[in-house]
Amino acid sequence: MAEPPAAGARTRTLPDHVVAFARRLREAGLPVSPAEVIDLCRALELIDIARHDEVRAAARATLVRARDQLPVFEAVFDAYWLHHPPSLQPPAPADPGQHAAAAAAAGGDRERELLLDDGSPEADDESAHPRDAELVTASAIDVLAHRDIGSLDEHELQLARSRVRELVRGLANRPGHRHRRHARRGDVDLRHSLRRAQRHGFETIEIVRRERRITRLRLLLLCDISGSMARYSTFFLAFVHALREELPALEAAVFATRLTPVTELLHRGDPLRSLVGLQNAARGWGGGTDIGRALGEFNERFAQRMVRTRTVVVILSDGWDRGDPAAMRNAMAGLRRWADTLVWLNPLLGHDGYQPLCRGMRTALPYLDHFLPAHDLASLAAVAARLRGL
Amino acid sequence: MAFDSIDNVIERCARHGYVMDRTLATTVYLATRLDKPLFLEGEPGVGKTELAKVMALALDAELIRLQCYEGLDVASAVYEWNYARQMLEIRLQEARGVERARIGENIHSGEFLLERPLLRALRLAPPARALLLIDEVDRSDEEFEAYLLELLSDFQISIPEIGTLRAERPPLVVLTSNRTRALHDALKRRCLYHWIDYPDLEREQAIVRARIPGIDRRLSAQVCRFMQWLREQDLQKNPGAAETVDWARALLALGSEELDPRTVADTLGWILKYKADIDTIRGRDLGAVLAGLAADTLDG
Repeated sequence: MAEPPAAGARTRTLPDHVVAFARRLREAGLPVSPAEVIDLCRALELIDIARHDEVRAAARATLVRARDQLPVFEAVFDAYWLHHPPSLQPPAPADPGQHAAAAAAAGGDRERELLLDDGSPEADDESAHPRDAELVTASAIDVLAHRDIGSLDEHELQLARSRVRELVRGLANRPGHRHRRHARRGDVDLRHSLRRAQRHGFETIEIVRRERRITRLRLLLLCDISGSMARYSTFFLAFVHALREELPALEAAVFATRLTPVTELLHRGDPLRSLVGLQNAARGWGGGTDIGRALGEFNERFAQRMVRTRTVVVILSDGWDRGDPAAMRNAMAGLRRWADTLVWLNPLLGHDGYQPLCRGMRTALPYLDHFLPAHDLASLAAVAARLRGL
Repeated sequence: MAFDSIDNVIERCARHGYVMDRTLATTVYLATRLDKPLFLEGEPGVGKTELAKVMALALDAELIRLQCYEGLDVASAVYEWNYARQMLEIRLQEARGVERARIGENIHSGEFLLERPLLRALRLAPPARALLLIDEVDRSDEEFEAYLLELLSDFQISIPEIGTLRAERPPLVVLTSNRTRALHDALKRRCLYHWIDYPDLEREQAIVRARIPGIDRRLSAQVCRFMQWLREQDLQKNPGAAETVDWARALLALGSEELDPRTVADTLGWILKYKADIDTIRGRDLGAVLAGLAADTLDG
């Protein structure tokens, strides 16, 4: 960032400042487009730029696109416009306490962690990893997971994509709300029948039918990221990444002892950055497992938002649960109510001689529609075949 | 009739019972001046739809509402031909002895078009102006979202039999979303964005007094303080300002002059919509809660 020193800043025009501010936002992870910068410039002509609340409101309205961007926006706004002339340091490391306070006022821990992560302009550099590791609970698992990113090669991604496509086709075989025309099957399509009859002055009516089109699959992925699942993190990443390409409506959450929705993170870019973001966002990455509590939390707080009619819920976990079996039972029953189809993919199931004997898995079994193996990408082919056959 | 300043927005919306902070007023003002759609997000009951209605009143615009749902299609959102009238027209022409080649010539004209909300919003002739409310856009599906994106960028609609219809004056557009699903970024980028939060205590009291002019100050203060407390509890669904107003009205109708534990327990159904939430709150010592809230007031 080669910006002029403070002396130069004084001669800057307002649009220069808007552009520089937009750059700060981009560095902090907000995707601000040139069109939006122009909108802000137009907006500033309409308001009293001496009033800081109006400037803030105008910038918010034109540059922010989601609620979870607000804490980052507010922090960068304060750093840029209130500490005028703008300092040349990236905003976040300057005084994390203030940003943390701003974020805490606006939201929970997750926002705070996101903010701290995004605030550093080197977030996607290799050099930033030690810093990220300090922010989350530094553990051996972090290191392991980072190494896994390296091993996620093009071939694996390719394989994941083709497997996931099969899997998605296996799950998406039910009629939706939209229609396509069909010569013989389905309900009468009044609009098109009458349209055709018009040509003959409504003397002869040829019946056109339409049937319900296969709906696009809605899928919610609940991923176990506790210590016992750590060795599958490459698989997990490739799987999620490929799923996201196949299903724009994918929702996802990760859990260990608590549960964290990560949908927005997944939609943010390449898998490498996703994992770094996931680790920062998720509480208890690589820690113990309390499936009952985590899924219960999902039912209470997130299900209504993340699950819609005909959502297939896929749990990816080995079922090792150290929590209360009654809580687990409740959580599974709750999930059963939300989900259209409940699938459990268990990496252990792929190993010869595995029996679902551990308490957590036994508790969950009665609630599942499908209980299938998944320990590597290859095993997903079998899953897809099973689902198609059902 | 347009808003001429931010204060003007606040004042004119207040006249119709909508209390807003300056941030929201600035956004509304900019949306009307920059001719950009306004995208309102927030939990249910914070006043997203209400804002659109009040804007229409304040601007003397015609409110045209499109409620979104999954499977919403062109026939119900944009236009449909009036087949029955077309058939009748042909029969009438036959009866009148219209030349054979000319029969049915006119049946694809505006006269036989059934306007649905989007077309209506575009065809409204100036000086009348439309305020198009696209409600709960997150409930529509991707196909409709894509269609909307196109409509919002050039405000024109193509009807194969007629051609392209373009709005003489683009309507004001307000989109609302409860975030039941993530919407495509491109759609949001066409709009000015605002997240409507739950009101703070002061604003909530102002809302109640604006919506229920006769309400006793003490009751409205008690109600709002209780609502603020309620939103701090771990509920499945937090009540919005709409519930606060409904509840205050209900209390007035019941002749309550102040909140007591019994009344609260009996009327919780007005503000909490899940049995589990009602049970949670009934399980608390409401007497102590109310006393605590009253004590806070005295301190303040």
